[in-house]
Formats: sequence, C-alpha cells, structure tokens
Amino acid sequence: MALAVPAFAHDVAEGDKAFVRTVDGPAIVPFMYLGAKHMVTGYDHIAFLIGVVFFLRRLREVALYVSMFTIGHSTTLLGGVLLGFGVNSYIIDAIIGLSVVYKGVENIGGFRRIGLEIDTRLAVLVFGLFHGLGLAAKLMELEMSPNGLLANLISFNVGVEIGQLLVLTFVVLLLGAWRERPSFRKYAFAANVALIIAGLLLTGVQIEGYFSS
Amino acid sequence: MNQAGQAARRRRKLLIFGGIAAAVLVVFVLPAETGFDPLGVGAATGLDEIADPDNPELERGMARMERQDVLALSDTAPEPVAGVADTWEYELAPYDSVEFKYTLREGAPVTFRWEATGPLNYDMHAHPFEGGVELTESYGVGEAQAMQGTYTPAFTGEHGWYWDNRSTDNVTLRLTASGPLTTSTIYAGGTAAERPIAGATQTIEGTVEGHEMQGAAAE
Repeated sequence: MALAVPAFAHDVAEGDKAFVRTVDGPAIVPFMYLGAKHMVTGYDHIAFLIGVVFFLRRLREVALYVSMFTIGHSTTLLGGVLLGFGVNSYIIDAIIGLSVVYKGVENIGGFRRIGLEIDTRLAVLVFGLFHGLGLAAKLMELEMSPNGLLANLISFNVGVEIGQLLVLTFVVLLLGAWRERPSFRKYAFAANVALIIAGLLLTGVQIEGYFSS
Repeated sequence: MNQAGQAARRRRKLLIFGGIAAAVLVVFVLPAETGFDPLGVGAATGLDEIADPDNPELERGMARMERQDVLALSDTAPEPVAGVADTWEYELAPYDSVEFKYTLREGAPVTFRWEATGPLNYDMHAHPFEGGVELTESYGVGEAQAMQGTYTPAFTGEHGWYWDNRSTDNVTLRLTASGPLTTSTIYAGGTAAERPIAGATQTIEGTVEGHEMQGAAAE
C-alpha cells in the first residue's frame, strides 16, 4: 500500500509543477486550465460532488448545494494561499476523504437512523472549506511567484469552478438518465455504500501517508 | 412525446455534448498537454507553455555552451584526472529527489560518471558564487540512467545534479568524480548538508545566496 500512496495522493501533475515554477507574472488562461484540470481529474472532489447531487432532482437544489460548496472552497483557496496557512495536506486530504464518507452515509439515511439531525447545507459548506484548504496546500507546494499571484490565484479558482461545472454537468446528466430506470432504486443504496468505501479508502491512504511522511 | 421523438432528442443531446467535449479537447487540452496546437489558441493564451515550459536556466546554459566548452560527454568512463577522487552513493525512494553539488573553481576540469539502478530525471546545473541562484545555468535536463564525461566549470561556484526518481521502485545512484574537488553539499528533504571530501586539501570560500533545492516542491 505504501508504494501506491503517491499515485493516490491527488497532486498537481508533475509536468504542470515545472510549468508553475517557471511562471513569473500573470498567466490567466493557463491557470484557469490548471484549475479546471485539477477538478476534472480530482477523484476526491468528484466523489464528494457525486454524493452531494445523488438524490437531487431539481436544478435549483443542485445550484444551492453546489453554491455552498463553491463559497466554502473559494474562501479557503484564496485565503489559504494569500495568508499562507500551512496545513498538512495529508490531514486535509484525509478530511476530504471523510467528507465523501459523510455524504454517502447521509444518502443512505444513516444519520437519521441514529437520530442525528445535520443541516446538509452547513455540512457541505464546511467540507467546502476543507476542499479549498486542500487546493491551497497543493498550490502552496508549487511556490508560485509573488509576481501576478493574485491574478493567477483567481484564475485558478475560476478554472476550478469551470471544471466543477463540467464534472457536474456530466454527473447530473448521467444520474438523471439512471434515475429513470428501475435499476436506480435497486442499486442506489449499493452506489452510496461504494462511495463510503471509496471515502474510507481515501482517508486511510492519506492517514497512512501522514504517518509515513 | 413519442418514442422516435425521444430517441431523436437524445441523439441530438449526445451530439451537442460530444461536440463540446471534442472542441474543448482540441482547443484547450491538446495544446496544454501535448503542445499540439492546430488553432493557435495555445500560443495565443500561453497554454502551450504548460506542455513545454520556458526554462531560463537551461537557455542560459545552452548559450554558455555555444561560447565555451563546459560539458563534454563521453561514451566510455573518463580517465581520472589529477587531484582528489570521490565516490558517493545514495538511495532514492519512489518519488524522492536529491541534489548533489561539488564546489569547484572556474576553468579546472573534473571527470565524472554517475549510474543508477533505474532511470532518473536529472538536471545538471551550476550556481556561481557571484550572482547566486539568479544566474543558475543548466547544461542538461532529461531522463537517463547514466552519464559520464569531463566537466569544466564556467565559473567558481557549486556544480552538480538534481535527480528525481519518478518510478515506484527504489533507485540507487552511484557517482564518481576526480579532479580538484574541494567540498560537496547535499540538498535533500529541504535541508542542505555540507559533505567534506576525504583527501581534499584545497578550499574555496563562498556560498550560493538563496539556494533552495530544485524541485523542492516535489516533496
């Protein structure tokens, strides 16, 4: 398992690191691209988004929850890098893993069963804050040049939202198509259990990475 | 709505989203990932820089090598030259990196050979004591399992390699060098450690201002 850790830890890709280090000054479109790429290839973020929209039928609800998530991660992404929060990215990634577990458990009614009432909007906002901290930690590891930092950071954030929109479009369409079929009722529970397992796996790998680093 | 109408709608939806995906691929993804830029959007927006980042250190090093002989690679292990002989071994864990530098005087050639048990990404470069990291010159960046030849410092300063193990196996690296070596420095895990060389009598005073390990962010 230890050998698999680097492949699991969802970092900015190696080649992109070399690029970020050579940038001196604003590079709007490239950073937007990197933000979008980070979201589209970020299975931890995607797993959480799948959990969030799993049972949402109406576009208004999707927009509401996704906005909570966006407000959360934009706040800590921008604030984290600009203020230089030094949070260990293994811990953040472990919490991101737990956010997937949380959403899976909630989707199968786990919290209701044990009498826990959690405001989902608040939970999504709080986990959004952690997802943003994760993004900030990844960006800070890249030692971005202070020249053009704010412009590049905002571009990256905008890119993250574009990437999120792309992923959501895909996920919502796919879930929408599946929801019309009888197999949805049959396997919705199993799908959320799979999310929980994936979340636990991500968390475990990150905790292992934390102790071996 | 009838069945045929629904099927037609679904097909149109599929076509639209497929078209958007293909357009995003050609306009943005390919220029950024591969440098293939048929519409020129990559060059116009700077996206193609991601595929092929500018490397000012390498450009400086290449310009230097056009003016003077710095690095002469050879097919066979070079004969040791007068001075001190040195051997250094290091094991790189998966995704681990290390930087090794000799402190050398301008114009005094050394011979070297390094070999690893697996391919490593390397950056052979030098920092002058006068000017520091701002004037770093790279003489070779790429992937290799071994490299050997004669190296003539273009300036007094720290000269050596950055190695990065991008594989999931441990890789052991072995470096030998001979010539007017003075001392060496190892940059690993974010810290610099001086490594004295047995038998070295000469010393060169100086430090590289602001040196950080290349690719330290890879940690």
